[in-house]
Amino acid sequence: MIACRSLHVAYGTGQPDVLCGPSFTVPSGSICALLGPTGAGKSTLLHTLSGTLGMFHHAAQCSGSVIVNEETFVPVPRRVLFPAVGMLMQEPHLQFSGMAETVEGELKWTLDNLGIVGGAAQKQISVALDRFGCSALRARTLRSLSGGELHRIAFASVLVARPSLLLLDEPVASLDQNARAQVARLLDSLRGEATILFTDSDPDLAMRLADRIIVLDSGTLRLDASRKTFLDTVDAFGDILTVTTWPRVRERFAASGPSSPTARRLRRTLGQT
Amino acid sequence: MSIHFDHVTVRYPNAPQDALRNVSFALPSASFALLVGHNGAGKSTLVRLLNGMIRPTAGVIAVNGRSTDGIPTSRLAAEVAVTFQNPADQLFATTVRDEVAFGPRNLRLPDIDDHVSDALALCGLTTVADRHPYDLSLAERKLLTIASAVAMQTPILAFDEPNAGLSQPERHRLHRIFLTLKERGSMLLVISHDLGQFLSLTDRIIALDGGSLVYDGTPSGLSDAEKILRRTGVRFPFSERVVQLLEK
Repeated sequence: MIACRSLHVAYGTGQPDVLCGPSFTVPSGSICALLGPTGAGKSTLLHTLSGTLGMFHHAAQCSGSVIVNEETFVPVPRRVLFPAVGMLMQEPHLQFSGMAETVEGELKWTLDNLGIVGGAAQKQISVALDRFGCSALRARTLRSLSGGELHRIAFASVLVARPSLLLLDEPVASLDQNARAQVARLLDSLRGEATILFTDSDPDLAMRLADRIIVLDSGTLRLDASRKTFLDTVDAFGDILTVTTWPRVRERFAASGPSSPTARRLRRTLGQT
Repeated sequence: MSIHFDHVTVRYPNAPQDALRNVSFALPSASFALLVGHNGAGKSTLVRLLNGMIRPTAGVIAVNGRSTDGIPTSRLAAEVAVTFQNPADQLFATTVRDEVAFGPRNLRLPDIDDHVSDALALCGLTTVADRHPYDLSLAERKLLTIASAVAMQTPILAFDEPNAGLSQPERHRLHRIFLTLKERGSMLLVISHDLGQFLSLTDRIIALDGGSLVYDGTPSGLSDAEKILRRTGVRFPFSERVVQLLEK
């Protein structure tokens, strides 16, 4: 599990709080969506939980506590919690070590650091690339990859270490609808195997598979609830999230009778029962 | 301002098959059309025909009722501005401001400074106007190509994968830019794989498959055409598909 209690973070002494005391828990093996607009504090929260905050904000001031699996950090982890926590950053180029030329080299470098070498490493690399349909990219140089390919390889380089906690910063924001569906299937396949917290400003992925939806606005928690409660109150977030047609979905559910098989099936899929 | 394609075919030299085959459609003024299809479907070829960068092997293309046959690219540039997938294909000035001013200067437009300032502001590039284009991030360079097209004041704008490589804040910026251009009455033709980003702006979807036009109509009409969705690889956003299923 991963949790935080009354978490306050400012980028320096005398600076305003970027996180203003959120508390929440993501239980082991569950998938949680952290939704909010640009500047809400989502990335800062993920960096704080993963111990990478200091890489970006050396003078950050923090209070509260963070719990990762069985360990409590007061106020926050000061070391990178790798490989227990795998963090996917928004920019793929921030993800890469800079130590390897090729896709295989990049994934191998991660495993080398964990002491996984030889056949075991080769197998883990094959599994990670296969999960993203990227086996054909194995020998390619990172520089030759397209934006979408880089994103998938960055994700594979996180998964190759088999972290039990996955923190994913906007994993689908720059992907088209087909690639989004692929990521959704992948996350669903990891359900129960890993604890997942991902950020987004669009509720689509969250409504598709999240056990819990947290809404963060200006560093403050506005909701920590099930998908059902989120959909019931979705209009309240129209000012900060791209709610698109979700209000219409709620209206349709309300209008459809209990006998409609399509509505029944979709209610189940969307966690509305 | 309108666009008409009348039985247009394109075959590149030494190519074994047509890049576009017998394509006909018409777009009225102030429309926002999304051009979709797999890689190699003929989308970029279609856009390059608009400003005369390539010419049809057969058929007629008319812009505002006049055939483009025999009209030089330099004159068509006053009607249609085009941006490409890769910004490196079209950036060559030494400052962002000069890059944006290049098109309007070539077209000998009046009030060039005003057009340049407006385009820079719309694309969020005012603060980097004096920097070298290659000192910008890839996403900023992409916005720079869009600003360069906007500054030309053409009634028709065509963008090839404008959101590829953009992160979420820049995608929001792009949405605002296109909304503003639409409100100003421009005709926009956008190539994109991402229906979600542009669906709320789109009046028309033109789908190509293997060089042939397989759909020309409204977004809602396409959502019912499952065979065409499969052939073109187009996928509606999740929330749209849920609504479509519930409203069937």
